[in-house]
Amino acid sequence: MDFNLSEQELAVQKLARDFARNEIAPHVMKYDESQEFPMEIAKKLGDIGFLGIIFPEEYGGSGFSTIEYAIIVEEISKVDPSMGLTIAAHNGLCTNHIFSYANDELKKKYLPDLTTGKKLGAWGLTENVSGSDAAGMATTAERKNGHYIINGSKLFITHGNVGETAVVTAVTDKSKHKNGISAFILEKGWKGFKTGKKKIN
Amino acid sequence: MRSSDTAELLFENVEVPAENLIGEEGQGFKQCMQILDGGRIAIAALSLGIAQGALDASLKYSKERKQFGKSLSEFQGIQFKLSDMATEADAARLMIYKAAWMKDKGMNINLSAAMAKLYASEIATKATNEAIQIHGGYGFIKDFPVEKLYRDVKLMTIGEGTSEVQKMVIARNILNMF
Repeated sequence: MDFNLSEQELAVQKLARDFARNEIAPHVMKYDESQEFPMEIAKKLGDIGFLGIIFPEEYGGSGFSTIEYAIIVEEISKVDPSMGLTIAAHNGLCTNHIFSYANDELKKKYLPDLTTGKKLGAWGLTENVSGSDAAGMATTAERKNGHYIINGSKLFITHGNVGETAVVTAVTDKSKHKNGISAFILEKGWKGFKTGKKKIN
Repeated sequence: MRSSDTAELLFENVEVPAENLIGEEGQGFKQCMQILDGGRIAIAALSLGIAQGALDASLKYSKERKQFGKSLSEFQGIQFKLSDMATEADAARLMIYKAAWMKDKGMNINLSAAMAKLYASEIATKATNEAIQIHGGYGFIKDFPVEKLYRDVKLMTIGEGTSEVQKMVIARNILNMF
């Protein structure tokens, strides 16, 4: 057993710490007050590879380990938890869902834009009727002529407005309860796909 | 988390090409549960960042601020708070690194990620509370970073599975092992 961080882990820690200090810290309270999403900081996160942390280089990612991922999230969140959440939701939920379960065609189509930060990702599981009981969702997807027709809504979605690629779950077979739920990739701008106003807190 | 972009997604007869189905029909929920296992390591790390940020700010402030002719850091009551915060942050960090290490080895992290997320989010909530207490009235205004950390931390015990959901996951695991 070895409790020391490796040289690379220490380098990643320094990279994240310096980024947080130089690029995030001076602007934290400005965005906190305006409640505006700091898109220019998110773009810079993409530039240094923090929006593709745990994904291999063949998909545009940085190829870091999960420990390095945790180190980055800790360092960024020390200074701004909101930016930590952007990294966590984008990498760990939307992008990782596509990386872990989509076929190669979809991975090639969607991952490079996400891992490089060209597009931000959203992930929709929670609904107004289903929080902890996640399988109790009401959104449906009905197969029809080579398409699925999706109706419903998702609530409390990080990057709900700024996200351009979304992974969304919907019921495809109600009789199978949690084994009748399927996941889809949706693109912002598709007809009928809208977002609500940012939730103010 | 006021600058975070949290919003509702609305679908009204959205036509999704069949090839945009991820994996197979009926696998979505199982996929989400495994994605959340990994997601919880990140939320635990986010919580740890908040806890460490609260501790760092409290160490700095308690050395600078003088009352009764000495710095706050010389009072045992303040030292005990700082000691608890440092110990708990270190414990959370070890749990997070362990879960992350297990994930990199391809091991099942359902239990270790839930434990790390539960513990880190709870100690972070406690740490920000103590940080405000150490800062006194200054902790409540925006001149010091702990005010924001105190507001932001509460999402940690709720998002990607509440503390109660983590305990359900932990209980299911340990009862099955026994």
